[in-house]
Amino acid sequence: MSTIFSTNNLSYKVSNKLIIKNATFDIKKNMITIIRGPNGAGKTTLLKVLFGILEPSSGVIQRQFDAKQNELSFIFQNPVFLNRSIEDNLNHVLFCKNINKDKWKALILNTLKEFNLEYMLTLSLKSLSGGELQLLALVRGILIHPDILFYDEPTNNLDNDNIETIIKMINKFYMKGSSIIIVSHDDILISKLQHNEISMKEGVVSS
Amino acid sequence: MSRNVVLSSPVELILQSLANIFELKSSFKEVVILSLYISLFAAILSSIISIYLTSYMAIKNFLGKDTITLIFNSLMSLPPVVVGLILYIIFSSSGVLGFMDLLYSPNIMIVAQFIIITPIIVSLSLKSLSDRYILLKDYLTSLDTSEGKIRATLIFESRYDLLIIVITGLSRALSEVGAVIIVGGNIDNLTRIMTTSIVLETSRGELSLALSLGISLIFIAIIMNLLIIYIKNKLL
Repeated sequence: MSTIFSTNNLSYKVSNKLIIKNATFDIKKNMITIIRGPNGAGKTTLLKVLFGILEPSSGVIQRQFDAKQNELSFIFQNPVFLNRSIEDNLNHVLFCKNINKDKWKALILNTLKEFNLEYMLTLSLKSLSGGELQLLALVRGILIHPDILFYDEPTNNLDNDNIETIIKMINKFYMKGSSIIIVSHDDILISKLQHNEISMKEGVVSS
Repeated sequence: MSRNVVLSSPVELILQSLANIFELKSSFKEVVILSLYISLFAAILSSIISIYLTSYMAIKNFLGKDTITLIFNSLMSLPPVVVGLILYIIFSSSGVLGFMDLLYSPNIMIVAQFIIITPIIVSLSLKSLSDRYILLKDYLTSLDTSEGKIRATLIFESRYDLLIIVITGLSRALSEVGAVIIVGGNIDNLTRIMTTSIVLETSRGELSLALSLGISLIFIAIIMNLLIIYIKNKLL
């Protein structure tokens, strides 16, 4: 199975504090990879470095895919939404990704229907619960059918029902052939996804 | 030669002022319309340029950014009479731009008001857009989109804040008198606006007319503030 990321002695430092320490590992294509570890281990930082939101302080990341032909998407632990309707929040992603405006409505409706979430279009953003906001964040993240999905703590602060829904959505999306990199310390989520694992503790990676 | 001014009772004065407003004499109407035209023009022009500039400053770190911010913050308290004086020196017939023949025209009054309100609009909108960018930075970065779309998103997301800032700038322009009286000259039917007219009519002892203009100015200010309250309560 081919590799999408190869890192060699990757480090990330903030004010002389090493958050990631000489990490060397590979991430396989078309797999779910879970970066696992306790709070403060540096998991989210590693995910942001892999995505490119943060620049590594030293070391090498080899991205073994064509960035121009592969869509990447990042779902944050505490997703931020724009001060507009749910549909317009989803429209905004398509606008930023230069998707033809004629396709927006169908793309949004189809994605929501796929996960039985089309009822959301009739609601206002402020009326959504924390769990529903996480579901919406996932929909927003996969709307463009990314080749690689980066997902930070999908089940944070969710009840069991919503965790189950998120797991089903992740699996359904994975079956379409994307690669997914998840940061989590949630045992329920980890046990229910077939995955490769990268462990982190105090900035040290072991795969 | 001094002139004796006979002061009416306050009630009489107010009634006469209100009568002036409701009669809408053509000279009164012209003064109000010219005031609104000059201030709206200055506020809209300043807002377009300021918001365009600050949407760039909000997302970029560059050498001198802090200095530019400091300068604009300091210029918020720029005395209007100093602006008027400097423009007068520059645009008077012996000044470097005297050939443009702008002095004592509505255009130079727009320039004066533009200079006075731009630091206010720049400083406030930079703060609003920068705060918004901090909130949305990770999300916008993750979309890997163009700078233009990031700036457009920021402006749209800050639209209500920015509208309040524009109204603040407009209110400041409407209430300004020091600079426009120097560069405009308060010429009847040409550069006479509400604030300069109040100064003139008071000095001439036409207190009811001065008061009607004052009441109109306060009325416009109240409308502006009601608009701000409405935006804050209903839309934010």
